[in-house]
Amino acid sequence: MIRIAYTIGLSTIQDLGRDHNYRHGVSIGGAMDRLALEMGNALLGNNRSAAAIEVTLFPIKFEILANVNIAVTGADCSIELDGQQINPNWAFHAVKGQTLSLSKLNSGSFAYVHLAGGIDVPEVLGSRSTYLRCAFGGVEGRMLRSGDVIHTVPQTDPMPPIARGGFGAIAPDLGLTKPERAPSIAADSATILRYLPAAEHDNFDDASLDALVSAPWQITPQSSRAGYRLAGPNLSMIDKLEMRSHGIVPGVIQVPPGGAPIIQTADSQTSGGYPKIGTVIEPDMWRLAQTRIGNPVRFQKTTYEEALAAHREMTGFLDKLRALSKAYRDLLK
Amino acid sequence: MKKNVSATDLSQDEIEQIIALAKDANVRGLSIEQNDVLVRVVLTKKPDGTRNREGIEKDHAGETKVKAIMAARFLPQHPDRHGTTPRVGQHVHKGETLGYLKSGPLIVPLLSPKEGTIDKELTHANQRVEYGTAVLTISEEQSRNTVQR
Amino acid sequence: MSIRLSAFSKSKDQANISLLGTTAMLFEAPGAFDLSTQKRIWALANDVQGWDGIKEAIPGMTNMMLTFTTPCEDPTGLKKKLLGAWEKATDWKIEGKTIEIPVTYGGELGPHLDDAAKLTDMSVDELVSLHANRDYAVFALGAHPGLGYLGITDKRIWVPRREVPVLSIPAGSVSIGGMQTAVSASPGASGWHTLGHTDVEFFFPHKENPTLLSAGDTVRFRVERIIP
Repeated sequence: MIRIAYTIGLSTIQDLGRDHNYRHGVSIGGAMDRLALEMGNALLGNNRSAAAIEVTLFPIKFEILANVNIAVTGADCSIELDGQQINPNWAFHAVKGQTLSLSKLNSGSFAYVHLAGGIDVPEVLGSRSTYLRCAFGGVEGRMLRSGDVIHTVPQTDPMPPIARGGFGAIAPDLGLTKPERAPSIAADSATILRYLPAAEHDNFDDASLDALVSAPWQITPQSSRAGYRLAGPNLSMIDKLEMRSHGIVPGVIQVPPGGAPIIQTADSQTSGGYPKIGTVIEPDMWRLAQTRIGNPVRFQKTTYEEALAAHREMTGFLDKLRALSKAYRDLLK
Repeated sequence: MKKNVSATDLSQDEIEQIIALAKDANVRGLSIEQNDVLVRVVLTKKPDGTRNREGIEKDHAGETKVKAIMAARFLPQHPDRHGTTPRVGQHVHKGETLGYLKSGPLIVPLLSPKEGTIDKELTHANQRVEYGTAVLTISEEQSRNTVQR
Repeated sequence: MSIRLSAFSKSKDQANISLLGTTAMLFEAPGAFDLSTQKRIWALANDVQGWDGIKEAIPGMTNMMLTFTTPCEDPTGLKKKLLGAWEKATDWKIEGKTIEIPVTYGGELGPHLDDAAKLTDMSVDELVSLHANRDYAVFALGAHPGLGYLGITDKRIWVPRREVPVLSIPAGSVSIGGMQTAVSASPGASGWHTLGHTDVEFFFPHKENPTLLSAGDTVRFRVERIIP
């Protein structure tokens, strides 16, 4: 049990989101960086989809109300337990009365604070994720605020305190193969996002298809958990298309008639009718989530096989982390 | 008893099963080779059932070898937090992090078993260590000098 | 301003199947944008929902999206199977309910009423009467929780989506886009033209059936007031 001692807002409870509710128009939602969410749960031995606190504005401080094992994953920020530095992507034990604080973001956007067992808030439509737009899920469907007390799901076989200074995971940036930079892509700090062409890809003119992969795309401040709006050259179509509304998923790159692309993210609409130039592959969506507003991304066309391989690599990374974390936790017993 | 198990693409469940079986059988060392990562888990029961988890060994008076508690690569620094662990000649407290052991995606700290001074690094950065490999030594003698400053 | 009606009503010769990354597949039915095609979509979704590896089969407007439980390993095989299932899909009869929705057209909560009237070369009153005096079928739910896609609007009020989507319109906004009309169930971004507003609520997250509208229902808008 912990209490939010200080926050300036925007932090919410998120898990892996809602399945089977597209038919009601309810988006998947859940953590923007699903990999980080799963990593924290792997370290603590939680269910894959256990809920955590998604932190987007720093600093945030927590008062520990009862002894608990904690993991912090995702964005690289300064993590302190009673003033003592904690490594990123780390699981550790905190005791009643201590203060955990997350401040000074070094890189990334979303950090996750996990409690052993997972955070307990009522499930709505099969998930604990907060959906701010309709004000449901999480804590009363809203952002966390100072004074909120966060409980954990009761465990039948609680883990003993994580001793010996805790343990952790390497940053996924080091653990996973970076998308290989195509020769056409400039070597800069932009996040590379691999995409697969979507239905209307070939309806865009050659200049636009070229611009898509050659230009740096700035993430604009009009971005949110629903979608990342990008600024760059205008993309235009050979023939204007007016389409029938259809399902869309996180990763879909829509291009409204204005020509500025929007990448759908966790809280995206479940359907839309703007032309789709491509879909960012799921294994690269955490890279997008951790790219900060104002920073650039670059698109790189990929193949279905490469996308599947990237997916397998990510699944393997998490499987190994789960197995090794369990083995190490057993060793600590 | 030490037993090596080689297999490819073991699922998490299978790995967990093997670990569970190995524990019951009082196995001390267990290596699971995967395609791209060597998973070595060292269980800490001695044949007589007592625990041996500190990985400490005193060679002679005053000097303590700090040993790896699992097969891994030795990282003197956390990959994302350089400059946060002590170096040779520095005084350390009991339980202080001296470096890290990395196995696949997992990173665990190498902790100082006692107060003292880091005497020698016996393992270089990124070197593969086995269970029981001495990674560095800690000297009590110098630590007294350091402590009594 | 002239609108190319053909862009909306264009009939496709054959089904178009495309991938949305490795997460989902989109099936777009051949034929016209009409209720009979939609009834086959409902039947198709009902069939496909039970297939191995399919998380959810979601009807759209004469199209259907499939989401996968894990990335589809054989998209070519799945495409073939889908085409086969489409051939066998026949009209699905849903006994829906009829819902009347009172609407205040124009004013602050109908900011695009004038734009839409200009786009369609008619007066506000004409536009409203063409929008309101008609039974619409709920083709599908989507976009955001509880929103029903209603069709088909009178072709005299077919309008393209807005060039740049509006960042947020309030819940209860009644809007038109393409050959479709809808009521927003919650505040959020929209690329459509907002004509008016209703106080009816459409989404109840804590109920077992969380939406007022279901595919196959009938909706009729009643003019409560027009604010010029």
